[in-house]
Amino acid sequence: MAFVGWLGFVALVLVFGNPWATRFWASHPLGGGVLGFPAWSLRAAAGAAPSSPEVGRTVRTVLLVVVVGVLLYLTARSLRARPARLGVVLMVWPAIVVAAGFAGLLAALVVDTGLQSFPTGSAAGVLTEMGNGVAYGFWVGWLPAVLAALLGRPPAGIVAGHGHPG
Amino acid sequence: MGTPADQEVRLIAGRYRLADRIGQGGMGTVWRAYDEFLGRTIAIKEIDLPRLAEIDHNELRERALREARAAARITHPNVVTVHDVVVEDQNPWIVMALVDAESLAEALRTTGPLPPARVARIGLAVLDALTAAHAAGIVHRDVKPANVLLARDGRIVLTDFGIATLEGDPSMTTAGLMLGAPAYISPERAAGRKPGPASDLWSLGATMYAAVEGRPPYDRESPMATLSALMSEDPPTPRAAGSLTPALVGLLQREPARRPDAATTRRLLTEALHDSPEQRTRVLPTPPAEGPSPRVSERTQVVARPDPATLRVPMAPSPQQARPPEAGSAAGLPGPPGPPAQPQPAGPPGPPPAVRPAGPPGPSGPPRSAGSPPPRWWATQVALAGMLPLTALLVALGAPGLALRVGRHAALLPLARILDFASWSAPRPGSIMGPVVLVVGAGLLLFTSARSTRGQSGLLGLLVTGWGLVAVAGGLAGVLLSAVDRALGPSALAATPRLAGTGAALGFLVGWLPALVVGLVADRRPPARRPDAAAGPPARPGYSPSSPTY
Repeated sequence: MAFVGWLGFVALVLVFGNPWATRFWASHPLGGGVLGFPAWSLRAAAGAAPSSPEVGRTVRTVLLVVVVGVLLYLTARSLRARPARLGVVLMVWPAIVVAAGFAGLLAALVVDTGLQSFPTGSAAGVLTEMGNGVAYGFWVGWLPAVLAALLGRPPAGIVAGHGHPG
Repeated sequence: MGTPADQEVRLIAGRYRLADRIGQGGMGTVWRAYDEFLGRTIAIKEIDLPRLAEIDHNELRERALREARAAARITHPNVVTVHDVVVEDQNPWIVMALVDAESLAEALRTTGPLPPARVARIGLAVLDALTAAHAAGIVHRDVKPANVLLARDGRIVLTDFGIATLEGDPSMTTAGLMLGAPAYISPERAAGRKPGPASDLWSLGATMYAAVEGRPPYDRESPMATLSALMSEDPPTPRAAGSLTPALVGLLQREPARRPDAATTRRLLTEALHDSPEQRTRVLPTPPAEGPSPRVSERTQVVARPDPATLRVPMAPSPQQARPPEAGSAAGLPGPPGPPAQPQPAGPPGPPPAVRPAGPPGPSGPPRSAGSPPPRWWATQVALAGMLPLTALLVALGAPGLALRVGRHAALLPLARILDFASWSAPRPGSIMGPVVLVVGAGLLLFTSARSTRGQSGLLGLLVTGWGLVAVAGGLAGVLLSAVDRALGPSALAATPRLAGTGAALGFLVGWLPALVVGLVADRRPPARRPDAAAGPPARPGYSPSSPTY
């Protein structure tokens, strides 16, 4: 369940965060600043300067994916029994929103150099990145949640500590 | 295999004189026999290899002997004691202690499903036996009601160790044979994968399911249909299991890795015993057991608090109990059956346990079946627990002029924008809608979530979910506000993502507090929806909830 939700989230990040999509969303009135939040670039891995925006965005995206995965895993582990499908949606979607908010916070605190006009760790930068992360989680989080509800297998009846999200 | 004609004179290994046949299973026949050397009555099981003639006979015999010898190493009060393994007429014979008992399968046939607390006790005993076996590197592979013996002296004994391990033999796979009852074997075993301890735990779950529901989880018209269902369908949700439901649902996970391990299973069963409404129980240290069993001292067992009324009336064996063991039972204590075990007081007598609690259960009442949603009033309580602190926070954060004052600092401009969403006193029209929709939306989402997750989320899950739901409610409030703005004025569609993002961010900023309160309220188990159903079936005649099991 959590694994399916996480896979769906990763797929969305890959789709919405690639360089071409990022350019498109940046100029689109509906997606500007939200859907392009988890941007990634192969140039970052190919040796771009550590302080370049590409590296910063890619690291932020990796952070986002990791935090979402961890929070989904922990949430699924805490389940004692199989929830209904609606329950899965109402569990995965909020978890993604919260995780994306935290990822935005972390990114603003540690890896945001060069991403925006705010200096790393500034109050404005932290709040903006947190808001962007939460907004992204809100707008896209429902899709992995629905996927998890339809395709995932909740760790039914598993007591915390023994559930393997998947 | 012996016949009725020669059984009286047949001597096995020069010392075991067969008496009468007391059981017939898929792998052989169990006899009552007399040990001429030691002068005691024993049970002896003949492994009936001729029926498997198409398979390598010698290899099977060697394996049966090896496994039986391994089983003989297990010394545990819940495991039938194996005294000896001999070979006669090229067939292995396993010499075991005779246990005066009926099998759980017989008990179910004669009296129907058992109450959850009784099944939890049986499950704990079998789990202890399996734990000892697994520690010795032995997987039982044939745990089923017919192999669980309910002894007259109150013991619960797992039998037929080592016999079904033949199934794991490659030659058996080649021959396409499937030994064991399909209704109780694990999916991985049915798929031909090598079974491990988790496979035994599945079978334990299926056995307890059958004991409490009256039929195994996969009950089809034929073995093939059962196997097919086992491979493709999820087990049905227990209906009469009450407090035993979490254990059953956990043990019947199709993926072995998802099943709880033995320690967790023990905790679940103990909780089921404690939470069971039909009995008042308490935990006592286990009395010392015979034989070297280091685990025994670490165990605890749950003993029912005796009913004074029951103590005054000695329990007489039922007619079914009084008759000699039949096919499927493994055996009786050496010599003639003694008097029925008398219930021993385990402490100061409490109120009669047969009386079930009346009236609506409290918040920490009996757990509800995981298959049904918790009551509406409970979910409403959860929603209100989130809405009240959320309202208080939004009233404070939306105070007149606060967003304006915060916005004077450039570094806090994003925060001012978020606070503006909560400004219920802003001069713009409909400003109160934002926080109101957020609170109402959060309440609805929390209510729906509490119902649809069936109250089975842990504290961490509750915190994350509650927090995120408030943020989602904020986002939805933003979408709604944007739609209203567009309907009332020239607001552009492009404002929707920004407004929704702001609402979600506000929810994220304030959602931790409602989530904390929700977590504290909802982490307590939701009560039973139907107290009578959760209490399990009514007590059967002849069954005393206060009867000590051990």
